[in-house]
Amino acid sequence: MDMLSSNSVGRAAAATAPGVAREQPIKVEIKDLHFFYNNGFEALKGINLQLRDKTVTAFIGPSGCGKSTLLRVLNRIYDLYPGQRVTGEVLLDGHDILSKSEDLNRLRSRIGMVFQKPTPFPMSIYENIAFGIRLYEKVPKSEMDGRVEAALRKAALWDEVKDKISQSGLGLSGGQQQRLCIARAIAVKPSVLLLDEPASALDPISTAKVEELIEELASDYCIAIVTHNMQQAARASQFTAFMYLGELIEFNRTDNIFTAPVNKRTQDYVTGRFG
Amino acid sequence: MSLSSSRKTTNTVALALAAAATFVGLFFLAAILVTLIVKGFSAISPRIFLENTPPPGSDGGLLNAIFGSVAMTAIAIIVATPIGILAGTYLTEYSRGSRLAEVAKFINDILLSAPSIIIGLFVYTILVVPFHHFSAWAGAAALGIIALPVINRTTQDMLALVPNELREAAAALGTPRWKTMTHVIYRAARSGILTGVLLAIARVTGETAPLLFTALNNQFWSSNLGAPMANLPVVIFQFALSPYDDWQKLAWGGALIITVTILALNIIARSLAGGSKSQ
Repeated sequence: MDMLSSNSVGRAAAATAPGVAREQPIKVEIKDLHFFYNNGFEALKGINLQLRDKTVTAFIGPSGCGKSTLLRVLNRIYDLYPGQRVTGEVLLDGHDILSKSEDLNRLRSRIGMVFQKPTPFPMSIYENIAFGIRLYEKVPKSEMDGRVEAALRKAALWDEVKDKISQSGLGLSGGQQQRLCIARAIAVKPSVLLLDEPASALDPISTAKVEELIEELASDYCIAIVTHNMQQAARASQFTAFMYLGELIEFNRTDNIFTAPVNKRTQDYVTGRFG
Repeated sequence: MSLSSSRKTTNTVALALAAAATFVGLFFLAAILVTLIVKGFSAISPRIFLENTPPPGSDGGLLNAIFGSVAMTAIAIIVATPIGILAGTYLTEYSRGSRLAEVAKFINDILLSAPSIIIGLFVYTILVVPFHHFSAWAGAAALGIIALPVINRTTQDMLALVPNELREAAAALGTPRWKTMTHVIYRAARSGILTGVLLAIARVTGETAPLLFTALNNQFWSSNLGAPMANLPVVIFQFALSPYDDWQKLAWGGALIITVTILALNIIARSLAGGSKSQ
């Protein structure tokens, strides 16, 4: 029953989507995804969803609704914890990334992730970026300098750190650390970016900078962002998925979700009546 | 008496008792340190670092004992450090929640507080009795067994302090597990693990009982690890109990050297640990 309802929602969204101009191709397709924690708790109950390329998709919903869990399936970071398992399919460019034979390190080079808490590595700003690049490529020093600078520029951090590039990344402010993490993620040239509440630990000014950055990155990447902040979802995304208790309740263009939600629960949530 | 004045009285009495207890504790500590410094300092001279332990009635120093202590501690730490760090790594990072790991952690903690004389006796049984003579190797082995659980435990604690987000962040970048450990997690825990090693050195520096059973002592200079070797704690033990004034004086000097060394190691360890916290 649950599955049916979310399926029908998915179809409704798909039905509205072709009417919109400049539609980007589908990058990630999630099909009937179920997720179980090792105590047997089913955190995702049959999710069907498409993420479009060069588009920001926001996942909103109350705490514990499964939105972060969904994000953690997309780069299979849940694999770090034995006992957690999924059923269903997640197709990245048509290829199922949930298959046992998937090379996780390669997968994660294509799907970058930024976490709620900034996680700079205990090394210099330069090394933080170069570390990821070196995982996949042998780059001569001169080229590496350029790559590091390009990543930091792309993350709108270059001007703030160019004079202290060899200092520890831990010495930066929270907002700068978070942009450093974004720079680190994009330096390895992923095509998908997963952002798990990237601004919720930041002050308003840093939040604005990170949001601005997300907007700019959207022209190059398929971005999925989990957020508790509905203004943020409304500002930063083109599509929004509202989740509740492990189900996808409604998925549509962000404008529609916030101005004309179809589902009663979606309406209650986006108008602040619960959650 | 009003309620508030009776409370004030209670407070004053409790405060006085607490202050007195502190004073008693500090008094004995200060008495030990003052005695040690007064008696030890007069024994400290260049000669103590340049000459070997003398026969009674003649001049000499503690060179052979200092060398022996440094050599055996160094061997013990060089062997125990990689084993301790790897074991701590396995127990924290690779076997989370498994029964084997829980049992191993528990046994390590028992070893941590095992009386050192038992460890001495153990090494005596396996490395001294079969070879029919005492040796520096056996001494180093005993010290290593004492240092091992200290290093193991601090490594576990320090790795557990590294936020899990850092492991996830490294994995999310596609970092292989071993590289996450060597390049990210060890780096984050580096000063803490180093602190553990320093504390292990401080711990074994003053150990006497395990050396009595193993390295024993040597009146002469010896760098032969297969033979008995002089070392500070046993020399102090032997000289302090002797009836000779000059031996007793050397014992005080040795005691001061050990104390200052341990103090220095603790200060370095503290400043390292403090430095990592402020990062």
